[in-house]
Amino acid sequence: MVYMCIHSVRGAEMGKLNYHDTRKQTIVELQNQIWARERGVSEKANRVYSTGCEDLDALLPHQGIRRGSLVEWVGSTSASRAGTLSLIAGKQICPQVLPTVIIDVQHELFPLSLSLLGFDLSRVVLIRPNSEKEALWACEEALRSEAIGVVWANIERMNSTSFRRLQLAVEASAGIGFLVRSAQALKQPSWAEARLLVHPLRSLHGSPCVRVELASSYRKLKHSQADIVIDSVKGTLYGTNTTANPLPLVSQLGVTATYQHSA
Amino acid sequence: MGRIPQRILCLWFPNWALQQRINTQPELQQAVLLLTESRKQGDFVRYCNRFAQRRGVQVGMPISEGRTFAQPHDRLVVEQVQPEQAWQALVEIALRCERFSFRIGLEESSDPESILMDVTGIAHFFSGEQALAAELDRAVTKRQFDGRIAIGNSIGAAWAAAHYMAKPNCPVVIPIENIRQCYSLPLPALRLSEPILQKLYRLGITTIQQVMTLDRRSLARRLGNDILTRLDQFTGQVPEYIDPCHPLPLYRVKQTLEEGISHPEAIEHFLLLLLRQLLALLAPCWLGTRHLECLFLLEDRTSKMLDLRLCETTSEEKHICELLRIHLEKLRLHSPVVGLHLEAKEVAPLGASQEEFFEGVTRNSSRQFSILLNRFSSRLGEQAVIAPYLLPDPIPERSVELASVAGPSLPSATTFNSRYHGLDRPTALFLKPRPIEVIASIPDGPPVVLFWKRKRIEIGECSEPERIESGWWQGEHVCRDYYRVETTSGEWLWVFRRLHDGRWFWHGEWF
Repeated sequence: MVYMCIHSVRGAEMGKLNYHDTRKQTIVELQNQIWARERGVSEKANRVYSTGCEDLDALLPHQGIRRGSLVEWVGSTSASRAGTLSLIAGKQICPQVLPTVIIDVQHELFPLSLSLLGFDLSRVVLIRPNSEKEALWACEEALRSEAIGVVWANIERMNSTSFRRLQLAVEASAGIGFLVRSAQALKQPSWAEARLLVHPLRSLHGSPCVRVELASSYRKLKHSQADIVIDSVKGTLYGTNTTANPLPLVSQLGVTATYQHSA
Repeated sequence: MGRIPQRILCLWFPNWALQQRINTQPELQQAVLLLTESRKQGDFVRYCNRFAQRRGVQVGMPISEGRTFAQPHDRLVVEQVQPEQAWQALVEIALRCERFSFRIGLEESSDPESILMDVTGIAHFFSGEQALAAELDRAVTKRQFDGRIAIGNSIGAAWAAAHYMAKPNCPVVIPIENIRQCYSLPLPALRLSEPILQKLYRLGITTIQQVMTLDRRSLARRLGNDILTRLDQFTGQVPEYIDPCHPLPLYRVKQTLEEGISHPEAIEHFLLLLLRQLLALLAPCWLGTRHLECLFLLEDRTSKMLDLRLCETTSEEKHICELLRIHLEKLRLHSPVVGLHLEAKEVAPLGASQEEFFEGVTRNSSRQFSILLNRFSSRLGEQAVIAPYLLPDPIPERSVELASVAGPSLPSATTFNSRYHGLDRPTALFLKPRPIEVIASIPDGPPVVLFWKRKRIEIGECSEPERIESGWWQGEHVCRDYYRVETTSGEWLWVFRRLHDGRWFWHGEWF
């Protein structure tokens, strides 16, 4: 069965393969296609987006965020930066023409920071429900819509049934859902494609670092954790071992200006 | 999904009441004509013709003094200003101009002197806007009136150009996207009230350009919101509507019942029945609505209002029914329903959507998204579904405004000062700053340990202070030194010291 799939895929994708510059990428793509055929996933849901950080992509089952999937970001502490990391990744993968829906149960998300992270606020809809029940309803409705790029929600309490409903909704629309939760969630079952546990680390040259750990995934992966730096100036992600993204000079020098603001 | 930019024509008749009076009796041009108004102090000259001005009469002088300037052989005519007559005459002129526009109305004023016309998409019938304005000017001149004509992108811009740029028989057309040429106009071109004008003059501000450079927040605090509204109306950022001389048709249905109904299903059925009738009124003209008002008349002679706002003009029965059901579930009727008035407001051609979210998106996607936003607003409440936009205020809690997506119009997106970068601001800002206790290495220095609710938080690193201060005129004065602190476990928190009392607060975190 699997051999036949490879054969048919290779036949169909022969033209595409010439464009891939690495053998590794080709293998990953073929693996994804085999997986999609085995699970009966649509062509649209087979598309995978990079988070913009190779080390983070390596922790995900498809070497990136697959359409039609939920990703859970669990913060080990309240200021672990799981939310910040997920927002940066969400901004990276959201198609430019589609709006982002942010469901903020705590009513504390600061829209100015979204703008600084590169979100176009004219394409952001912020939903501030009064209860987690309302948030779950809104999240499911949003995930079911094909007109939304990314749905981001910080819902804390979720039973298995609700989670499964969200997963079915996101699969039906081939959308993308990010759930940001606290460490309490680790005790609860997950229907997400990947559950990433985020620990804060001490800063590196003025930019915050996090350790991202793959807490659970339906697929066994070679990497289970990565140390990632969030560039405090650009708001982008890169691995601590990556040299392709040198730190900005300002950060390297550790210079922080004192602003004098007056209205 | 580009829309044709709006084009407005303003036709201004200086001293309309006087013009109208002379137009009805041309021989008055050779008389000393004084039109008066009564005030507490007595009667004063409100208008006077050129002949009277040559004799020395001035507007504003007492009528007894004005009379003395008339020579013995002069014909002296003294009359009270008749505002209703002048208004009626202006309406008649407006109705005669209907071949130039589909929507014509008068300016909003107690003594209107200008006619406003929506000439969007009409210019090509006259081989261009300049030709349209010239033809209208000829028609006005032919009827012995002195009119000034201007065309602009908004009512505000057209009004300003007609009053301060146009000359007799010389119409002004402000090209699309070139409103800047109006910035040099004097302040009264913004249609501001006299007290606001006087305050601005005292500050040495005399042109629109100077007002444009001022901080909007400060302007609002010092002079009220009217000035911002007028500015936005001038630039076209806030829509302004022409109230047509021919009143628009009302789309309203109502029905009363002989006996009250209280069963939810019966009430729903009654409402949907009337909705069908209302939509049948809209359907022949291909119209939809963005705002439905349902007024339930109750047996105890009170009434309950159900307001349904939509993100997109629609006439889709199924979709509106679904939203009305959600609203009905939340509506508490304490008495049986004996009648219902249903009115469609904000009626517009189908397909007029809020395009802020949908640029570059397929029509199907935008429709899907509109329907979804309507469902969100109906179920969660309008205030829960919001579009954030930035304000140029350094005080964090005042730097963002949240507008309901179902509101009449979303504010235009703002670009924020580029002095801030990626992580300069926390991703979570607490609704209220949390009071904390702090141990600092030196007095008034950066914190070393924080205490919040008996929890001890050790600080590993701390940024330089960032002073954030409000203007003294902005009401409550705010002056804070913000620090981005890193705990020993690597978390980033945003704390500040209030300078006037030295107290510390935890305001946000990079969650």
